[in-house]
Amino acid sequence: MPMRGLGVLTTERVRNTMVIRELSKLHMFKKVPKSDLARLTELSTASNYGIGDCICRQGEQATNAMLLVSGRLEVSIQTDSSVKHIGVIHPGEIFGEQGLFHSKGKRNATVLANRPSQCLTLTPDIMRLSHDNEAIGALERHLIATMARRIRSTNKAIQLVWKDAQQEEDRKNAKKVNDNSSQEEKSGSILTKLRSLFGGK
Amino acid sequence: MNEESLRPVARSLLRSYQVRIARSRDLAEALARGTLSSWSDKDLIFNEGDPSKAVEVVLKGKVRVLKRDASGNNKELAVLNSPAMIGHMGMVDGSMRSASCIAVGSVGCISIDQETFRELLGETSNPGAAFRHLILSSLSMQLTTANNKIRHLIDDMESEKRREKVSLEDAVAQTQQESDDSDGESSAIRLMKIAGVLDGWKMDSEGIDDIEFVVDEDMKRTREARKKRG
Repeated sequence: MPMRGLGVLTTERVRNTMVIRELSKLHMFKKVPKSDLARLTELSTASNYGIGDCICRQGEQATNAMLLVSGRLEVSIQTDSSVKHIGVIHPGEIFGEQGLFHSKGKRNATVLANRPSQCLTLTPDIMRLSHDNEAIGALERHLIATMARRIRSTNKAIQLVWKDAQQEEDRKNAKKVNDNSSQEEKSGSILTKLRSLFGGK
Repeated sequence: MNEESLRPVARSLLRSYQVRIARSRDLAEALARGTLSSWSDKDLIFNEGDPSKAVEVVLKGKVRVLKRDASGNNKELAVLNSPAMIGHMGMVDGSMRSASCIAVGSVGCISIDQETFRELLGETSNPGAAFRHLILSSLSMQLTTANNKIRHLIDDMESEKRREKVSLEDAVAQTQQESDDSDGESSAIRLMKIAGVLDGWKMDSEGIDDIEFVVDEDMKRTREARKKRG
């Protein structure tokens, strides 16, 4: 029995060493001491996925975020009648980060592995230690940049639809005609654009 | 400004930005590194399109946020009450000011310049961590609030389409029941406001009441100590 226990411990240590090696290759951890990466690895759970495995599904409850350590993942959203691929996640990217901030949040998209992949599960508790761990601090800075990018791309999409809506309204005001058919055309086209960008029923 | 006098502001900021893990004393220490600035009524704090040079933490007064629409007219996005944080998006990604801010009455702010902002984000320290958590919570709220508003807008448009199919009389009755959320605003105005939320100009937490409040660990400890004392 003691030998078996030692075996589990050794396997875990080997796995952690491999995760640390992969993490240290990521740009955000370039200047982070190995000891801080080791602490991050101890605090989070590493999971391996095969091709086609589901990492998270749209609508599921979100309680954590994930960091892709190695491999490649595909993101899709379910719209009214189809599945729309919206992007690819590369090593070093964090996803599902809303799970770190909202206790009852839901996943907005489905993520599948399209290569053998390894992810690190990040729980909100990890962030409590960012004041004395450089790896967690680096993770938070990376998260800030990721969220800012996400906000900018959502904003860009919204601005495009807003511009169309504004032009339609200006046109309608200029004509001063309350035409039911043009109203239907307006709401229909904006709705179609919003649905194609953000999904929907 | 000394850290002790900034504790109440730090505590309110943690509460209004729904920061789950930070202590008010650490955030107060971070804020104390900024410099005090003040504006009189109707003063322009910054203009849309200006380069982003500082984050302003509003300590006193109100700030009116205006954004130009497609025709170049200024539309009001929000009036922010203190304490509030403005202009952090530009500091995070180096973008220009996405709206103009005007003082309503006398306004007092702490300005955190680019250098201090970078220092705080990069620090492995308690004030650094508290400041990062404030920024992260704000960004998360911006995304969640905007997503919820987009979802409401899509739902309202779906209802509008359905209403168009029923008779005019029925439609009028339904409109009175279903248009509460939009307050009679057009899709364009609602989209503009969503863009404003994404830029961090409107921090109402509509639709995100499921956020778990832990807020301020100092307060939590004080409460626990009081309980123990009976």
